[in-house]
Amino acid sequence: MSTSEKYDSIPDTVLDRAFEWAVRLSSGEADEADREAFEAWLARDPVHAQAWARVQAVEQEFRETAGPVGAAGRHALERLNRRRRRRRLLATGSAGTLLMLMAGIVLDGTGRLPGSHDYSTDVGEKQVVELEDETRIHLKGETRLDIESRPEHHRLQLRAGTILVQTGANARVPLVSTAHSQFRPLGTRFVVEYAQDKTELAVLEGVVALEPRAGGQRREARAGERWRTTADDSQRLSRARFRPGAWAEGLLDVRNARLDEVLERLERHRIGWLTHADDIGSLRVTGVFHLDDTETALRALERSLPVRIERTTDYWIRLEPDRG
Amino acid sequence: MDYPASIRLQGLYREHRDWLRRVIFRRTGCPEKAADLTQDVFLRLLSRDATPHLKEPRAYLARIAHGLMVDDWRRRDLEQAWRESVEGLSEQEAPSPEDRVSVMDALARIDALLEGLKPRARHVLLCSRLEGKGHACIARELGVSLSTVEKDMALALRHCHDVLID
Repeated sequence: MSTSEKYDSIPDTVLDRAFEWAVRLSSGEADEADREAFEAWLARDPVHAQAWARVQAVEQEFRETAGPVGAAGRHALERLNRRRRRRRLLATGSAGTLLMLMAGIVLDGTGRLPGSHDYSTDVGEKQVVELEDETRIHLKGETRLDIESRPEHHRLQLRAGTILVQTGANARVPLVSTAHSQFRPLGTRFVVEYAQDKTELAVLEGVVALEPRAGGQRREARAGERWRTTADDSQRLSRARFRPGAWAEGLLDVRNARLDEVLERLERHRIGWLTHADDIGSLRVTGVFHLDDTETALRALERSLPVRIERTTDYWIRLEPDRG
Repeated sequence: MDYPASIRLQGLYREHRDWLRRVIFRRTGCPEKAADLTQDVFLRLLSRDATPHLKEPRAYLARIAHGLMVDDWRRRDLEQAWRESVEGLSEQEAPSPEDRVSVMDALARIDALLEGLKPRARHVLLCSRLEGKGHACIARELGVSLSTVEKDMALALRHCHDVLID
């Protein structure tokens, strides 16, 4: 019998059964009755034995690396996979930027207005959109933004999440609006964060005029100030515990924030679970962490706070009080 | 290889070698790697039974080169991940340099088998087959039910089988 004939002759259901046996026998719980039942199944039909040979061929691939180097091998393969997945996320981000640059060319070439462009980012992802007049817009993770460029200004409708807007030197004014307010910058760099019930503005440079949608009082927010707006009201906030816009530089810049708030932000930049014991959530944290290296961030927390990292797997990390 | 095919290959080599080396150099940024991989592309052609008549030989060569570069990147990523994973292992635990090559080969084969598998099934299979952990232990660590782990295991083994047989 040639190899290919042999490969074609095993029914799918028999293969499935063979792999179920492989799972059962390797569960660590199989008993004598299981083994007898398996032997009986194996002897019942020559096709069963052929299917079992396939199982063995798969198992053989793992046998060489099992044993002493097995744990390191697993870590290496999972690390590699996480890195690839992260890279794929980044690649999606740059495709969006390219799309917008092409939209800019259409506008310049024909004088026609391009339609509205929608951008969205995933958890832990970020994206930079550069308009043709050098206006730059950074999108934080979990953000949705529509951009429509008109001759006199850009219209930015923020539907979810957070953006950082940096206006170009001779750029058209980017007018940002959310369900609550409109923001008109006067040569500036600023962050707008939209949540269901409120919008927050942080001005990094220059001045932003803030107009509540329902016709509340118009305000001018200056560099260093933070404002919270609802549809009919706006109020000035105290200094932030997380420096606004630090994420655009890939940083988490924290001043006297709660540990549970810090962990929640770090978790968005990891694949897997990051949990903590309840009684350490209120510990206070100050520092600057790199969002693309949360391992180092966690080790820094372990060094500076009375906590230790419990690592069940690379996917599942828990912070516990360090009573040692 | 028949006589005309080998003549064709020589022609390809003379005409496109320098161009191909430049293409690979632009992608890798490394002159030695570009020279090596250019040689590998033509070696790959030499080992085939026949050199096809080509309308667009450069597209064909670039496609082979791309495949080799991807293999090369994958291997380098894998080696780096392995180095990071054995950091801190004692001398007894870490594999000897002679074993290293065969371990890397085996890991590369496993990596190829697991391509496209969802992360949890990948994790479950590796815990079981490389570390010898029992299903109950894996379920506890992940915080999922035993039957979820067993479903993942069956899915993962079947995935490997399909890739291996394909």
